[in-house]
Amino acid sequence: MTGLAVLAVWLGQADKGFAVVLAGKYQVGKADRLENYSRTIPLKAFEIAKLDTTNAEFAAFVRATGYVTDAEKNHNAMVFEPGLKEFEWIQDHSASWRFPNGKPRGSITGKMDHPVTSISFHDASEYCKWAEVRLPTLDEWEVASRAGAKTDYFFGSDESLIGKYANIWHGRDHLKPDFSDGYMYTSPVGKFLPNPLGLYDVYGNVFQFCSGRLSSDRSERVRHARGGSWWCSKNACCFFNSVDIGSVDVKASFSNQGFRVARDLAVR
Amino acid sequence: MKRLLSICIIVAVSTSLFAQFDPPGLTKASKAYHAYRMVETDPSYGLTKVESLIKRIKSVNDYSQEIAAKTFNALSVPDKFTYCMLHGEVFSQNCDGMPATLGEEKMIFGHPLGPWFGQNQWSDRQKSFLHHNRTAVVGLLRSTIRSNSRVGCNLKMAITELDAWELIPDLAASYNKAKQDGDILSVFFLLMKDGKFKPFLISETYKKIYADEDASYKSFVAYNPENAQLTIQRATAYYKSRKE
Repeated sequence: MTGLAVLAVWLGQADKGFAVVLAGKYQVGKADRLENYSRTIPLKAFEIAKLDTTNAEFAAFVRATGYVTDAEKNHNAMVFEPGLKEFEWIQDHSASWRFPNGKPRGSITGKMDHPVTSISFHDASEYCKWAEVRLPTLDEWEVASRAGAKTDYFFGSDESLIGKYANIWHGRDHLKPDFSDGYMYTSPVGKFLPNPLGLYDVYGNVFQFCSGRLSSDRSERVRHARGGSWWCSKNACCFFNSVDIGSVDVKASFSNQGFRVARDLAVR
Repeated sequence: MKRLLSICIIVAVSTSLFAQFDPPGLTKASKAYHAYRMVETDPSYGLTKVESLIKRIKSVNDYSQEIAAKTFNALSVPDKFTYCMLHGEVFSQNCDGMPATLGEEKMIFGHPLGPWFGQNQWSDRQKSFLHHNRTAVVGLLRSTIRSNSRVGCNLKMAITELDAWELIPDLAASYNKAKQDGDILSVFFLLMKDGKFKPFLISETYKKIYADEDASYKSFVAYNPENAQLTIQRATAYYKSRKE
């Protein structure tokens, strides 16, 4: 194992919904990246959810606490509809986690097993406080997503395999709808093949919020998410990998961003 | 021959180690160029007033990105122009900011970096203002370019948004001052692409950065004097074809 720590699932010790990453030193980053450059990092043991947090789980949080999300308060969620130019999104005052792309484009009825979206980093953090979990750090997410791989993807370097593992956008652009993998927006969690650690939707479906900052952050408001989303295509951002790190405002709500939770191993 | 092979192996191993451990010497030029690409230009029209308005938005609450409709509508065209160049009223998604890359200073990308560190974009009313006042805005862009040493990434975004081919001579003049700003060449690419300029559409550059099956927002061609010269020549020819 070249002196690096062993990465494994502790069957029997891990909660059914969590995978365990052992304490150790891990290889992260990529040689040609200035921010996330290739390096070895030490990590404490932690657990990370195998699935993204769903609408059903977020609904339970809202029922228990009466929490009102940023998009519900501020009516400023950003949504997508086919026909927009690359990287263009539109603000929809009616959009929130209950109507991820705005009321005209439908609700989450019948989609309670989809990842919760149209929430902000701030909302995700509030959920974590209630659920007594936390967001993974940028490094934890990367180590868990790689599952031991040193390539851009946990399945190697062949990007053409991405469709087996991720709900992404397969269209050349975003002018027309793309249902080629069965879903234009989110898919139910766990519909695509998992990584060797047992994590589903590591890439695609929704950007997953992570804690931590980058040296390039120009504002206190910047937060980060990883893994790409259903919107991402190979011809646009290609962020569906273990290397790239997204940046977004702490109060921004988009219908392609969600989260998966983590927790310290010592807690259990 | 064996000696040459040994030297090659040592060089290859050293390069690999340097890449892995990111020594400052190796990345300094790339980091500096990435920062150079992110520089914005402040137009002079009503600058103090507009800066004050933007500051006030951020002090009122922690979520709104907009000035009130009444305030926006009361701004003059030049002041609105400055407002749009300094501030995007809606958020940008996670992947709007492209990652800084080793060797970036040797690349001409298919798309320039956007302003505001990829955190904001123009709202509908801002885009509407820019398009409905295209002639005036192009004039304001021209005078701003001529009175500044750089064409900031915010101005570049306005130029591509408006397909402002009329500014090609000013952009070329600005590029030739320092011959460093590869993103001006990216703007030329986009203008020629949007204008469907045939000599560009049949070029290897177009194929590589826009037309290839795998072309993405990270695609680039080599940034060297030959490619820069060729791009300026093509853009100038495109400008002349539009003027005729």
